[in-house]
Amino acid sequence: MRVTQATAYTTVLSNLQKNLEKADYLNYTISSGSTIRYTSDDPVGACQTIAYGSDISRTEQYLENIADADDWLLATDNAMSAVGDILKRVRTLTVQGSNDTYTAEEREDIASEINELLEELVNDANTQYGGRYLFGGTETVSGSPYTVTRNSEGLVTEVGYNGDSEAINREVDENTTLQINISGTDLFQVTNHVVTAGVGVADQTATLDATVGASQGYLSINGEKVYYDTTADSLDDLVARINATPQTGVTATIDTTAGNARLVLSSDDPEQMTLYDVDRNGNTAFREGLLNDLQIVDGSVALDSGGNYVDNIHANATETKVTAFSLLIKVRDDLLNSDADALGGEDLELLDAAQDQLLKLRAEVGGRQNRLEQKATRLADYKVQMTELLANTSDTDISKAVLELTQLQSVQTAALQAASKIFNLSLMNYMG
Amino acid sequence: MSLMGAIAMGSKTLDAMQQALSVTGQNIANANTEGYSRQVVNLSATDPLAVDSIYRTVSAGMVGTGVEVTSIERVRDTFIDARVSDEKSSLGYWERMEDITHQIELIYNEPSDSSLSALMDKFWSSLEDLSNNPESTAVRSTVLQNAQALTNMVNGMYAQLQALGGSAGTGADNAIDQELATDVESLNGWAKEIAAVNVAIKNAEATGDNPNDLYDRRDLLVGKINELVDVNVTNNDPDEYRVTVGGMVLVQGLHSFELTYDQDALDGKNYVYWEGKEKLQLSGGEMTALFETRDETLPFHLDALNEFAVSFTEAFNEIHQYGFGLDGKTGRDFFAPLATQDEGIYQLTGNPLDMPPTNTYVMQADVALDGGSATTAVVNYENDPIGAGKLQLNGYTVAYNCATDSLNAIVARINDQECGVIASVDPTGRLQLTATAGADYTITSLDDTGTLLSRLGILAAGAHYDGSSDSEADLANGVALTRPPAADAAMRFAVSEDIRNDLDAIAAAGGTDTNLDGIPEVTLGEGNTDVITALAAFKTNTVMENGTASFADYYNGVVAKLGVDAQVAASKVDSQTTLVENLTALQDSVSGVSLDDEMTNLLKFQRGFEAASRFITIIDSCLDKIINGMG
Repeated sequence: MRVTQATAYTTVLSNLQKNLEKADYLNYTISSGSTIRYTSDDPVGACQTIAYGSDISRTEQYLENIADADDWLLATDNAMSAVGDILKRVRTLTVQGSNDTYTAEEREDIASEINELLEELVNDANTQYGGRYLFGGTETVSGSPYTVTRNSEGLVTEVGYNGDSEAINREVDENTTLQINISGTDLFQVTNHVVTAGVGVADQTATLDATVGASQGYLSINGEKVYYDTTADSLDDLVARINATPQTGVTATIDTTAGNARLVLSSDDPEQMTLYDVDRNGNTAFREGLLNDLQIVDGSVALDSGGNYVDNIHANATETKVTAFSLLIKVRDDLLNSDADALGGEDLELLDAAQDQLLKLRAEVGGRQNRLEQKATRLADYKVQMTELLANTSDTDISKAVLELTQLQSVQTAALQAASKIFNLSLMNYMG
Repeated sequence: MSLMGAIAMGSKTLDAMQQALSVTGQNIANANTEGYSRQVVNLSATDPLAVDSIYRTVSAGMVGTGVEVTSIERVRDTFIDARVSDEKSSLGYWERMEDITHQIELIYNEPSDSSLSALMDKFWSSLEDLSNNPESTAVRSTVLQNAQALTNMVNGMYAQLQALGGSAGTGADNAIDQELATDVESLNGWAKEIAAVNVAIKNAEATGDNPNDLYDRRDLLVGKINELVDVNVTNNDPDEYRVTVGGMVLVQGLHSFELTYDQDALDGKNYVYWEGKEKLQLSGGEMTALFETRDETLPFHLDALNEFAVSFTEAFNEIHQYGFGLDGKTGRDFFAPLATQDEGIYQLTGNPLDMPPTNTYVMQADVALDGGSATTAVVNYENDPIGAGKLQLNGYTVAYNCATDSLNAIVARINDQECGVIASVDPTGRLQLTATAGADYTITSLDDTGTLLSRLGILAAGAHYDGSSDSEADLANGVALTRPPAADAAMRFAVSEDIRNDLDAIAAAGGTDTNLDGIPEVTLGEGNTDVITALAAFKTNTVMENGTASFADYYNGVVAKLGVDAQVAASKVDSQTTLVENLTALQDSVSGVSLDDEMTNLLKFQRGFEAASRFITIIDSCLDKIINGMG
């Protein structure tokens, strides 16, 4: 083929250009550490890089969530430990106080120490972590969960609860959440919560409309809705239906001691029940319904901001609800009244129950912490694997790249030298 | 031959050698000129003469009379020329494609720490942080900032893509349209030049000459046009050199026609028009690549961003709406609600004429519509059954029988059809029909042979919706109607004003439904994180593409397509470049000037000239002898 100067020049230039392009790319991979500059360099690799990066960031986030949850659980455990110490001390004092060798003045001294321990218990119940209350359920910042009412002598008469019993969940893995909090209603409940209706029916097998009028609707027991129709259901039917709904955590029975049949609702474990009638019209001023008609709850008690009716039990209902606070108040008052029988008998039993409840919940917290630790280890391993995959996809093998660049340099030098030789060859150099 | 004749022969030779030398000089001078083909001198012996003689009628042998230049021709192989121009046109096309796809790649800037996917990751991360600490104002502030970074990124990318290639109706503001306008101007300029050259060629050819340089110039101009768009040249008739582009004549002999770049009133885009009348369908070359990227590649990416913005806004807001902020309020949007067009229907939410009897406010969507449930004593439409029938949605038919089908079952059946309309049941138990992106966000027709759609409050009884605005009267009274999102949803993608003004409005907590209407009324407390956890988990929910892809999958799909397009274009450019280089070398070997060749020719013709001068001198001395030496 006839070759002109123009062809020779073009060939040289185009090859030099190609070499430079390769050198530029290698330079980029070495200086940036990544083999993918544009998506077009490796479309599949680029997408994988994006996906792996996303995965790693999500795993890191879960690890952060776990660390945060762990800290919360640790703080909870510490607070519970302090509560446990107080209960132990109270028990010792109660045992002492039940001894009839103590005089009334000595019992008074013990009583005042118990009062101080009670105040301390309320403080512990109001523990905060990072500005949030540990035991208030999801009412974490709107005021302390436990408030104290004192009489004129400075003695505590009542400890009220302003929180709720909702769970605080943390996402610790894909589609896996863990509840990290213990609400005060669980921790400080000593006995099961039992409510007996204020109104009873004459015949528990007759339809309820004979006593409370015709109505249909839903009851809400610990968040579970139970349907009723007074024109069709008798008290037995209602009881059966409530018991058939296991998620309520509440057992219904009938109390016939007062000469008529009353509905009794009691929690299966020591915890506070949340009861209300469902008002379909969103009426918050006065909720009509079966629970109100049977005088179990008082329909006029308004929703609090957490959607809870914590203290809405009807005045005519009989409620048994012993909390650690009411127990300490009782012990102190028994001491002041020198009621040794109560001190040595019922009070000690209740104190043991309180400690059992505390231990049970501490074990649960410990269990959760274990679970978190296992998760953290697994996620850390996963993160390492993902990072390795990411490196394999897009990280530069520096030694290989540097070697290629050196090779390219020598090729380029040879090309430049050959070019200079070619350009010098011309007939004109040899003609006159 | 007489002596005078010999001198004449000598001078003819000198003449021929001079011409040959000039042609060689011309070749040397134009060795580096673009499009120049080397010219060769065709020398041939002139006709021999029969010579007079004293003894015979003619003397022995016919005597040659010298040399003459019969023609000066340019050396060109038209076959190779045609191949080169074809491949150059293809190279131009792919170079432009590579250019534009690379620019789109740069706009996306994946993979990197500041790209859209990285910002999305940061946003999800901050949502998770909020789920750890829903009460904290500092974390809420981070969520807002990350959300704004995300929306700004989407706005910015959309604007950049538009500046590159625009969307319908934005006229000639964008880079591609401007480039095309310039290209059309160039085409017109070259066409006029070709016509002028044709005039000059015609004049030269009339005298029988070969205007080689004019031919070269004409070929060069056609080559330039070829890089922009495929041309067809016919040169059969010597008077009619015709250049056609896109099926219409650009240059016919001495006359050139004009192209304009104007807007088509129908779709608002600009096209090339011939003499203001015919719209040209171009093929090959840079301009075709520009049209393709403007009309196919860029709209794909613009639509993808729009779909992303629409789906993200809707799906995110749907969950956020039922959440509660730190101030205990609910019902707020996180992302600004989409602006809507004036016509068409995107979403219909039915308001059932007769809700099932009062013991359930919310219809039980998992119980047969004409049935009831023993466990909760629910009665749907048991007392007034709806019956069976067939629905027609956007042209697809779905059968139903309310005696056995629950609302959820009917919804699942509609979604399986993939008819461009998605059905769902909202938390209050109402049927919701939504058009998909594939159906251009518009419900085009609705019909029902039974009474389901009218009982559920979507269509008026016995009526049928056909997509026109008059037909909207056929919808049920009380139906909630949403119009399609405005084009450019990605430009309007932003965090809502509620959230920007008040960080406490970010809904982290879930709520309780205290009156069983399906909507939570009261917050579960500021420590509750149900809603924010659901929003953070959203990252992997499949909400795009009819529920088959998550945001990450969808976005990755778009990026992968872009990467492959750019990679294909780049590799095509590489292979075309090599091909064109090789063909050009071939072309050059035929038509290129080799300086060595020309050097040798110079020597040859110089010696020829010297020899001829010598000949003349010798003949002259012979004559001198005769004239001055004899008698």
